[in-house]
Amino acid sequence: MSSFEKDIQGVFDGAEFQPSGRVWNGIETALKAKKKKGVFFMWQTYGVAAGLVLLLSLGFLANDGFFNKESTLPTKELSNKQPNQAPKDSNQKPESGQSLDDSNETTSKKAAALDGQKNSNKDSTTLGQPSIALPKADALEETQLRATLEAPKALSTEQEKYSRSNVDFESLKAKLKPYRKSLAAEKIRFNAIMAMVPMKEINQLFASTPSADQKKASKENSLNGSFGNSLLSLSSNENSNRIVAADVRNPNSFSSLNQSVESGEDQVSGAISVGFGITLDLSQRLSLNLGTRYSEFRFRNTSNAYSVEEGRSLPIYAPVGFSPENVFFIGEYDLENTIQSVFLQSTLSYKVLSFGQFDISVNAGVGVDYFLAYKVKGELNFLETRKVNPAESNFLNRTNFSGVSGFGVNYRVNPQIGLSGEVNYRRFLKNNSDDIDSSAASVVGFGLSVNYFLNRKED
Amino acid sequence: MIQDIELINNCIKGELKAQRELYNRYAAKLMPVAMRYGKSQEDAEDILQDAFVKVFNSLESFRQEAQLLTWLTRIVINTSINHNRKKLYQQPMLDIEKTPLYVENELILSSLHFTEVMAMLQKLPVGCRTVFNLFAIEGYGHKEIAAQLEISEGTSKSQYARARALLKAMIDEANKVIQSNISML
Repeated sequence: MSSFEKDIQGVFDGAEFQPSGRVWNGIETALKAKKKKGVFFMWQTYGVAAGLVLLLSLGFLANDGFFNKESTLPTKELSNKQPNQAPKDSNQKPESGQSLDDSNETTSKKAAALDGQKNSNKDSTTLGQPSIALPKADALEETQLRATLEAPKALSTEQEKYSRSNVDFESLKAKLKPYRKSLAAEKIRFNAIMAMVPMKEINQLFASTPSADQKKASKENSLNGSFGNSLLSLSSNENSNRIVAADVRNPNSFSSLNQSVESGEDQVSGAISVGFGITLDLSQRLSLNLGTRYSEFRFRNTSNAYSVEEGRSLPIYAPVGFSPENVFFIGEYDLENTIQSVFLQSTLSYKVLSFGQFDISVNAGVGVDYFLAYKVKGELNFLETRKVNPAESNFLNRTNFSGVSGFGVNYRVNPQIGLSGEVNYRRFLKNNSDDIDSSAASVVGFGLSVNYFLNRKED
Repeated sequence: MIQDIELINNCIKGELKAQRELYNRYAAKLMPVAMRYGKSQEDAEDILQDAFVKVFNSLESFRQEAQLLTWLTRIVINTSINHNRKKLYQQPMLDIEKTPLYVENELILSSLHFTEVMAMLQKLPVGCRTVFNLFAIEGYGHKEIAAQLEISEGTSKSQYARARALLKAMIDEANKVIQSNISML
């Protein structure tokens, strides 16, 4: 370094020059703007996260019946009510004190039905007579019914109408619909239907042997092999081959019927999921995503039975693992089944369209599910939701593999973070279990996810 | 007086008062640096403003074993280069083959105030000014300057030589005026 450079450095050494006030004003403005932006970013990010958590929480609560205040009345309490009042017209409006009246009315109907059943037992070949299996809900109720039988009285016009073998089921439902507000009425309504309407299963019950029923039900309805008729190939367990063929024994030996639990065909409702992922952009359009999701699969079907376990009435999806003494057969009712799972998925995404902060991509890949819980909700108010912990059950294998494809709308929050809404088609891979009709199942679902981009490659 | 470290920590927390204090403490020292690279005081103030915004946004990355003033000066220089980069692209620096690389004539600087030298620097073309600052005052080598400005090492050398020749002419002129003023007294 020459003396010139030293001299020039010396000139500026320790030099100070006060800038004008506009410099600080500009700095202050920029700092405040950044703070606002920071708050906005936080609102965006954490607001969306909080919204998702809130939605999930409300969803879980609703799913667990938190908002359904009518469903908490224990079954035991229902039958302890004293039906001492005279039957009333079924068209009256539902009121809080309605259930007792309903109980009286339906008790009379049950009495009529039991009467019919008794007659039926005397002449078991008379299949034209209404013949039913009475739920053993409570001994007291039955005692009351039998007392009614012992002191027969004239049936009301309404009862006579219902006791005909060709009862219009839909009109019955419509007339009784107002009583759905009452838990007691809900149960009694089904008891009444059972008492008055010949059930479809009756013919089968009388026509087939127990072993034949078991084989058929095992093939069509049991949980082993297929979780439903065609939905998910979730399990294979030889223990689940046992089917409940419940003897519905009447204490007074009215009849000894043998009846099977029947479930209807599954109707897939869909799946919802939420989660997060890590994305690696392989090119400006192609990216690899590794994500984890919490997911719920929902499907609907029907059942014709429920079980009473520790004082709780619970729906039966399939005849597996229930004690026959605690199984009661009623008219067909709807079931909503929910399977909760966590799944990992690896997908390749191809960006097909970009507009501003948004883009649309198609994706495909594979995933593996780990099932957390299985819930069965019967759409009868007196039934509580059955929750099955897969760890404590032989119902299903906890892991299942699936192929995933679909499309997503993605929003770029910043270079690292993106939010995605995805519509996916998932096809579960076949279960190779031995004695199982393991039809591959599929489901269309919607999901939300937050993605962290390891390297964002922009167009 | 509050120590720099505490001041930095308070700035990191986003305390505007601490940020103002840090600015007040160092702005006057950094302004001459910005002025050397800018073509005017206004230009320099723009550079200084941008530099301080960067400082407050990246104070967390300041390693406290380093001198704060050195770190701040480095940020002002980088901001200045970025500020001038567009102009550098518009007025590309070329090798000036016939310009002597070094002018060994004595340059009398002692009689000049830094503001006068600053004014001379600001009259230099942007490329010459930037290279001169980096080489003569910041002490970078031509190789480093070439890399930073994305020019060849030869260009850096020739731009420096040109800057020095232009400065010499301006300093000689200034000295002549001074001498003439002295002789008139």
